[in-house]
Amino acid sequence: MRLAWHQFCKDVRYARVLLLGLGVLLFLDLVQTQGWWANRNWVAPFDSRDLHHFGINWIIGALVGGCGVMAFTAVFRDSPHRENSFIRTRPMPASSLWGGKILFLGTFVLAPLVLIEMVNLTLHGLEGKLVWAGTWERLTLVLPVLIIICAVSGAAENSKSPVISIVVGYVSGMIGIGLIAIAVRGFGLSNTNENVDGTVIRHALFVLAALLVGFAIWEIRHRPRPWLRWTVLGSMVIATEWFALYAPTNPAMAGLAQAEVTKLAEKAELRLPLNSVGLAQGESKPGLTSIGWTPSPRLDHLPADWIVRWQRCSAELKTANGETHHALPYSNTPLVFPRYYSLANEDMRSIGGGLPEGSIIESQSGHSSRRSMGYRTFDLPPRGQWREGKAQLSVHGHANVYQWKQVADLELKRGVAKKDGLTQWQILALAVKPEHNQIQVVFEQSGPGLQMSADQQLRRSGRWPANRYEFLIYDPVNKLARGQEHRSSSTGSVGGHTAFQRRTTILRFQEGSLRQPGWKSHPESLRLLVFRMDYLGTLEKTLATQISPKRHRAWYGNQYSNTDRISREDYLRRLAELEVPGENASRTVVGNYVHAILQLIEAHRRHHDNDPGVVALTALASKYPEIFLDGYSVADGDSRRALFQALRNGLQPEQKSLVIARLDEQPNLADLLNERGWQDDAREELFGLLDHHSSLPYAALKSLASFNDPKADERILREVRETRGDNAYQIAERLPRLADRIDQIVTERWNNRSHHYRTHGSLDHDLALAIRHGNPVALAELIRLLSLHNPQRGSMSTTILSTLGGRLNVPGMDRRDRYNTDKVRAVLLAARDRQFRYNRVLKQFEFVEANTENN
Amino acid sequence: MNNLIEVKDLRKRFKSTHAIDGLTLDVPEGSVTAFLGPNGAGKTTTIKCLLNLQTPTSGVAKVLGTDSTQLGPKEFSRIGYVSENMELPEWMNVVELLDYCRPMYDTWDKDFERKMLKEFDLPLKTRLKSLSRGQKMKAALLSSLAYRPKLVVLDEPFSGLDPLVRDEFIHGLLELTEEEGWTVFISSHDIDEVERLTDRVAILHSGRLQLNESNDDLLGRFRRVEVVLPENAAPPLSQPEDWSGLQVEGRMVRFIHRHHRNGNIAEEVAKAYGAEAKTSVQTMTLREIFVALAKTFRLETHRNGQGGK
Repeated sequence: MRLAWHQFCKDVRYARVLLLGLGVLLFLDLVQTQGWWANRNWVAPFDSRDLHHFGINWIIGALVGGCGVMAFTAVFRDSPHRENSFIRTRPMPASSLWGGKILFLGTFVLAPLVLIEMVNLTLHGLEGKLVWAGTWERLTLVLPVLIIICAVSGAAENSKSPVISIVVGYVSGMIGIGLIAIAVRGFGLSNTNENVDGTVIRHALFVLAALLVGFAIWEIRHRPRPWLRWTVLGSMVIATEWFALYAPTNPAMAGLAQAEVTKLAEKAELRLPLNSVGLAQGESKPGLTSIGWTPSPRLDHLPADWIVRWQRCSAELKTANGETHHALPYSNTPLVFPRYYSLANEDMRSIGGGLPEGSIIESQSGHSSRRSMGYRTFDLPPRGQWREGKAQLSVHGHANVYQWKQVADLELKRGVAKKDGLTQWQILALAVKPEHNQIQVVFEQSGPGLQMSADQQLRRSGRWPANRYEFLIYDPVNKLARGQEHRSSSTGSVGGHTAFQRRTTILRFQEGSLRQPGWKSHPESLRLLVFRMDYLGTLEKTLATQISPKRHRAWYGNQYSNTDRISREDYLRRLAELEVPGENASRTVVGNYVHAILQLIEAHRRHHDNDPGVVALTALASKYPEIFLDGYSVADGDSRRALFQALRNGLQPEQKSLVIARLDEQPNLADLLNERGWQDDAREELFGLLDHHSSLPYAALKSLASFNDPKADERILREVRETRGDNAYQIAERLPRLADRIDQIVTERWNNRSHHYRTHGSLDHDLALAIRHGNPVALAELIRLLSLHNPQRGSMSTTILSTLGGRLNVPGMDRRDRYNTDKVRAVLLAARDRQFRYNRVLKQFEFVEANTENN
Repeated sequence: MNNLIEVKDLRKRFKSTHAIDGLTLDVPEGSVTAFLGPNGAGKTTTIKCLLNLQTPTSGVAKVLGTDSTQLGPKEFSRIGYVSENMELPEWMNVVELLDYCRPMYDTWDKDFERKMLKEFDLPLKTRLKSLSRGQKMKAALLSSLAYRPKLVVLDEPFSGLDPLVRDEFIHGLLELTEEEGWTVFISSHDIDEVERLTDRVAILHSGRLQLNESNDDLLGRFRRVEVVLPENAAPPLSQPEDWSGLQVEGRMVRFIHRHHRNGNIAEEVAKAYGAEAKTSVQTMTLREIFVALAKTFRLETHRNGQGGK
């Protein structure tokens, strides 16, 4: 022991620089995984898209490499295989020598790694058992290195070739890993592709590897023919590489998973939502042809760090008269495993992040990017071979230790589709993903229902269906409601019918001015808004039940939006049919009424201050101002204008404090203040916006400009200089006191456009600003771009052309045509050889000659 | 007298090369034995086999009464080994080297260490890799002698040393050996230097031991003989077995007599050339004896090779 300690101290002295480097690496690893930007408090559900970015990061690689160097340094400095070694002729017992080495490696390689792993996992909130399991995961990365070192030292004792030594050591190390794996887990080594066949194959591979090793040793010892030796060794390397990479990925974890699942099976509730039942409209004879569902087990009590994979699922249909029809069973890879099982494909940061308990976890694979099991259908027997009436659909699911059964009562009918009216939505998972700058909500309709597809219905009836939904996430922090919907892959038609499946809506924080989710309570304040898309539809009941008007989205216009408008008569009639809420009506009733009016206004598309719809809204605005203010925050289009009119006309002076109080959250309300002349009362709040918002809307800037305050002016100028929109410029160009500064800023931006182009990938904003400000060179650049006939550039140029609107004064050009981008484009292209000048009085571009004539 | 090294029919083969071919050798306790031989004779291989740095193909080598393949810490604590190729931990300085070695030996004598440090005049705080070759050898010798080993094995210790350093080194080693009464087994082909140290000589050639005896015996039995023949006398066609390296130049005949006894040379010359022949007998240095023997062994090897054909 004394000599072992002596040896240890000597190695410490020798490797002190390396030790310092390893310490830095470990620190970096800890910082990377636990730094403030890791945001460990946020839930971060598994996202298959993340897989593309995952992998063992460079720090882990450097750590393993560093450990290898450390081990080599410690061991080979006194390697006993060297025949002239200094240490070999000293009275150092082998036990002391290796004791010192093991102590060194344990202290400076294993212990820090174990410690940092445990810290990582503990900080992620994992329980002790999982912490140890994860720690073991890391150890399995380090142990091979140590095994290799020892193997090399031992195997190369009588070898003069370092290459052979390394190869032999490497192979020995890999075999060592395999033996450890077997010792821990047995032959049933699990992998992400685990199944019965896989186990057998893996078993066979191990035997093959063992045979190869035995054969190689025999060859080397007894028939040292070089070509055969290298061939065998090469084969061994390849075989063991495969073996090491794929077979014993994490035997301990697999073993733990098995035990954990067995224990949890008793209390886990697995539910199989029958998301849909499709009634098909046959071509020649209507009838039920298939039943569809999305098999997504719900594990109410499973820990957050487990991912469920399906094994097999079978279904049968029993009709009331005793007929039984069986669906063809289908299978999927069975596994229930911790989410950090597939370490090679996941970043360490995902460890322990997990889904909230009770979340539905869709089928996921460590290697696959599939997010869904797919839409499963039960094909009924040929039409006519089943009877109408009540029936029962049973679905059996199987996993390693799970078996569950889901039964749904159905009523089979021949004929047209039937809607059962279930329209309840349920949020299944909500994830804040700061690293992706987004919030993601997974939700679904929570019960069986019969739903005809919109397209099918449209084809049949020539009208838009009664139900089409739009899903938005309302973020009260940023006061916006947006959503980019990603339907799950289960979306599809069953015999021409589509059921509601699980949906995913993503809210992206792409604009720099938006406040990104930064605290734990933020997700809890988010609301999912579900809208029906029919023009007479009512606001769907949302989870958060906060009423909001439908938000029109232009980019859906060509796909789903109704382009018809209802007649004035119809509009007035439907409006009159609406039941006006009573004196003591609930907020929900009022909200539905308001929304119904907004839907009609949007359907009619023409309204004014005296419009009956606006008048009806105005009558309620003073009594329910919070509903209107809420709605105004997320509405746009006709609804937004109607709400604004109602607020402007309906709010009482004593209610201005409500508006002012919301100003920080909704700077757009400054428009209301301007209209009502309340901006002076809100001076303090308006200036407060300067500190709280990086970019302000036009109305707020307009209010601030009215104060003629240097601080406000500086802010306007800053926004002109830095932002890509033109709100600030529109304000600034109307302020003579800022004229010189604006000239300077626009010139600077135009001169620096190449820099902006590199930074933003576009010079459109600088170009548009310069054109708006009357820069003939910029106009010439626009003409040049237009003449390139580049579709992409052409599209961008069209956007710029719209900013030119009204500022082109060409002889013979109709005044209205100045706002028509196509005609403006044609005029500019026709005048590409002409020179323009900017008339600052008229704020228009003119031909130089024309200007002369005018003068 | 005990033998600290006993080698019997030791063989070491590297593929088709016989590095050691049936070596049998004894090194008595208290002796300073020079292990001589030309390059490639097998000296270093023999020492590596003795110290369990290489495993012999066959035969037995005992060191301190223990089979060399079984040498362990107990034996190594009584063996001091310095080799020209020894890889010292060069990142250490002399003090660190001694600090590292000291705890391994129960018999480490710090006073003796200080004395040797003083004699060797080594820089204490300079890393070994920055020391000269001679200083490194001194440091290695210091770390191998401070525990007063019973057996000192030196493998080409003078290789690459300049004459001054070599002289200092030998002087120090000579003094210590005389004072401590160590058994020293020293391999070298630098015969002039070894002669000052040793009291026994073992000569190896082609892996085989050619002789192993004390310096006194060796120097006592080898003589250089010059004979001036009388006029018209014909040189003999054959020569006695004890003569070697016979050279005839006119009336002058020179040879080495390998078994000199008082008076026997004059008798043998008179018998071979007649009483009129004038004989002159001179003693030989170890170097002259080694060179003469090496030529003889080479000639014999060549002759055996031809005979074989």
